[in-house]
Amino acid sequence: MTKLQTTTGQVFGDTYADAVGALPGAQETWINGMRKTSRALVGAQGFPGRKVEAWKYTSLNQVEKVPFIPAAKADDVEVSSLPLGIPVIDGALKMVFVNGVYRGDLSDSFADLGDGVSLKPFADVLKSDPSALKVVLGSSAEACQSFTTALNTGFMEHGVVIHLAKNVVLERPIHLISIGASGAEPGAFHPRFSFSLEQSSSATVIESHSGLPGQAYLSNPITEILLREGAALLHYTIVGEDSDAFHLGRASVTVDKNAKYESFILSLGGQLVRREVKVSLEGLNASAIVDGVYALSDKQHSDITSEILHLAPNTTSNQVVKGVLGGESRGVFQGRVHVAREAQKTEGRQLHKALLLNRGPEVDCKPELEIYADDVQCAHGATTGEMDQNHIFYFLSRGIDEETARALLVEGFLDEVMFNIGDEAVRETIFGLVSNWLARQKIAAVSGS
Amino acid sequence: MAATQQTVDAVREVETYKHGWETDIESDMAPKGLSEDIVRFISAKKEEPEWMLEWRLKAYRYWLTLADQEPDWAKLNYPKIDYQDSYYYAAPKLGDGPKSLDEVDPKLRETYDKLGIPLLEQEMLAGVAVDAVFDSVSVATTYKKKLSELGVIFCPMSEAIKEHPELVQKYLGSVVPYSDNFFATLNCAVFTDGSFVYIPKGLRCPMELSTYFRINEKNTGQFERTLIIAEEGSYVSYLEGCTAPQRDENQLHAAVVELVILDDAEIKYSTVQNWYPGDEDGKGGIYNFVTKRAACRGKNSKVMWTQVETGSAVTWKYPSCILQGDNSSGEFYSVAITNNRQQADTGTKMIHLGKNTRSKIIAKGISAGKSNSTYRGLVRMQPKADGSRNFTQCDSLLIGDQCGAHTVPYIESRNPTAQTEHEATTSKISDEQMFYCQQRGLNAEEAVSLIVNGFCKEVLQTLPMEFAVEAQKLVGISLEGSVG
Repeated sequence: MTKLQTTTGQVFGDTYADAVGALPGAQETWINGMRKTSRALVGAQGFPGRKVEAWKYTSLNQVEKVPFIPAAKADDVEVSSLPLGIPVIDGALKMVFVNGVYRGDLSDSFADLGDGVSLKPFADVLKSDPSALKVVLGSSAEACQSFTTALNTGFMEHGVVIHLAKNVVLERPIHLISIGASGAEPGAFHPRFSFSLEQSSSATVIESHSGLPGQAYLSNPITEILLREGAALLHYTIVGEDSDAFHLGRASVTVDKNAKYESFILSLGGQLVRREVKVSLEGLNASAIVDGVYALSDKQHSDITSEILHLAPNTTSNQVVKGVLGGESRGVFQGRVHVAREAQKTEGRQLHKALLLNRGPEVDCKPELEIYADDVQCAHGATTGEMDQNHIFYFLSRGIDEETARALLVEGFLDEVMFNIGDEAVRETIFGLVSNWLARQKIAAVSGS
Repeated sequence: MAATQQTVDAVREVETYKHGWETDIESDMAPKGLSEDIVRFISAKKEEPEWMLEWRLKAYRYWLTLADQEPDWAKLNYPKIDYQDSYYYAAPKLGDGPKSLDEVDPKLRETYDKLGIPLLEQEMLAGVAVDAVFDSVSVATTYKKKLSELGVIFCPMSEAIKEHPELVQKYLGSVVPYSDNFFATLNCAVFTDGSFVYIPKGLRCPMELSTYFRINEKNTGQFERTLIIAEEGSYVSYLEGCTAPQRDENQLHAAVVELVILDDAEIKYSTVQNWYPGDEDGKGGIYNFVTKRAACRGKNSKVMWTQVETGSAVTWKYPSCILQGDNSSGEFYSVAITNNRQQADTGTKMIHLGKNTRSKIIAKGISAGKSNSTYRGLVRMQPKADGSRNFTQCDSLLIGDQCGAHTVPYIESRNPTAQTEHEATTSKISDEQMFYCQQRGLNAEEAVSLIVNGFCKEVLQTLPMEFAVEAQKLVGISLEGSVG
């Protein structure tokens, strides 16, 4: 343990804090307090080891060894235009962050989105109107509950604050584009996205996390979402980080009475990616969909860890996560569905399926049901395995070669989840990304089978 | 309960006894607490050879280093156990070891009768050989002669250590090593007795072997150690059942069961556990921390664990299968019923190492009252487990809105040709089912018993006949007071 502490001390300790320097909002004691507590937590507990149950299958050893500097301070990084390969969502309003810092020059103008819509860079709000953040900041993403959150909260500076007034329907999707790029030294950044949707308002938000090749970087974004009565949010996260990059991200969502949260996580890129999602269904009839797909190759590591808390009666949650693993990759899915004593008439469904394409990958899965109410219907399922030989035979017998057959089967396997994506433009983009991924793979037969 | 009175007297004697107990081999009870001297005392008491004592001491010393590593990951809540506040050795008062049932202390026999286990009747009617363990010392072994003619060794562990040291040395600790986990290590150091079974090559054991465990001494931890070896092509069905009289103080139980299964052999291990679960407020009751593991070492070897867990205040138990031999298979059938303030965290581990290994897990959890029941299981497919299969089904039934049912499966696969399937559901008894039963004249309690028995049927029917009957009754009794 002591060893861990010193390394964290070095990586995200005093030197790092000094380099980060004075952060906006420091004059506010409560913000300052949050940062201090979080830094202390990271310092005292260090990187979570394998003995910490939530990190059983994801080791941060690789991340721990890298001497990160605050990416925003790196003066040898220049991104003057949007790099190729950034997912494009038709009709979406782009907000671009390079190394966590908001870049007005690369973003669309969001001055005239209409009444009741407010979109502001996080750093600006921290400087000018920090009290506006009181409602949402830290309301659901508690530093003490997650290392990922603590690391972010300790150094949060940039990001975006989105607020929708009562009954506002934002037609245009908002696309938050995070681009990581390191110069000579590996950089780390901690963007903070904060959404609050008032009564009966609705929006679509896409987060895409990409990066430039070069030195490794660590992206550590936190998204906090507050959905008031009857609000609805479609929230899509596309992780396509650079192949050397690390990504530790989390979304914390609070869903009130009759509100709906619908999300989809696509995890494709990055050396080590961990997406955490926590959804608290706090009001009557609140509902959530927390789907995901991961597709991995080489030595990639991807972890989707979700927590769905049913805290009120008549709440519903649905989760389907599918993974395809090639190379020597490792996929992790941990999903907890918690039903509190008062959450009667709850429905919770969870399914995880993993397809292993060859010898080499490992998949670890831990779906978990924790139920304290009796009048509920909860079920989960999990399967792992390879493609059905009979299916391949079906294709072969119809004159389709094996490689094509396997690619089609993988696509079909993933399609099932992706068809449920509510927003058409996003669905198309995600389909495109997945077929690109498939085209890059050689999905050959498993040796010896 | 004259026997109990006797042991209570023994306790009183020991408690007033201040000095020199270490050398007092005649004493039937060691004083409270755990130390190297106690380990030596137990070993001396059992007249064990030097190697056994060394092994115990090695375990004890290792256990000391684990002081802060008592497992806390299970969904269990119990006050911290003071290991120095327990007795680690208690023997019923006996003269020379009895050679037949007639020689067994009549007072002990009386206790058994009250518990409903007529040894004589079983010997004559059921054809079951019973190795009765009463407070850690085996007092009667029936059918031993008949079995020994076939080459079967079925005896208390303490006897096996003396009579068959080569077998014990070869296999003891080979499945659950002394360094395995906190409770298993403790068991290695202080185990008092248990059963030893050896089935020779090619023999299908003609009768079901059975051991009834009892905890009957106040404040005595019971540390059983069972070792079953099935040689090539052999088969044995082993039954383990437990009852305990009412107690106010929590009793600690940390047993270890090791099964070794060689080529083409099969072991069927069935347990009905109904130890005292504590009263309605959760006072008293047994703490049950058990390490059970089967090593399918050979080709086509097979193991089947069946358990019906209705008792104990706290259950921590994960019978596991190490499927090492090609084509070996492991099955786990479990019913865990918790009521009042009972807590059960139980499940299995299936480690697939060999090719074409198979495992099947059927776990049924029933929670009532203010209890919590958790299924926790691991399925692991190692890189060489080509063509292996696993199927897991966990169903939970909740009775009442104050209880909890949890499912925590871990699935790890490192072989693409291996398949795992897991499914779990949680529900309650529907009003329609209750209405249907009550309409036909059953009262609420009978209806629940019937429905729950149906829910568990898949598991109960894998039990041997005698056990299945007892288990069905138990299911009903365990849920008394949970409805209406």
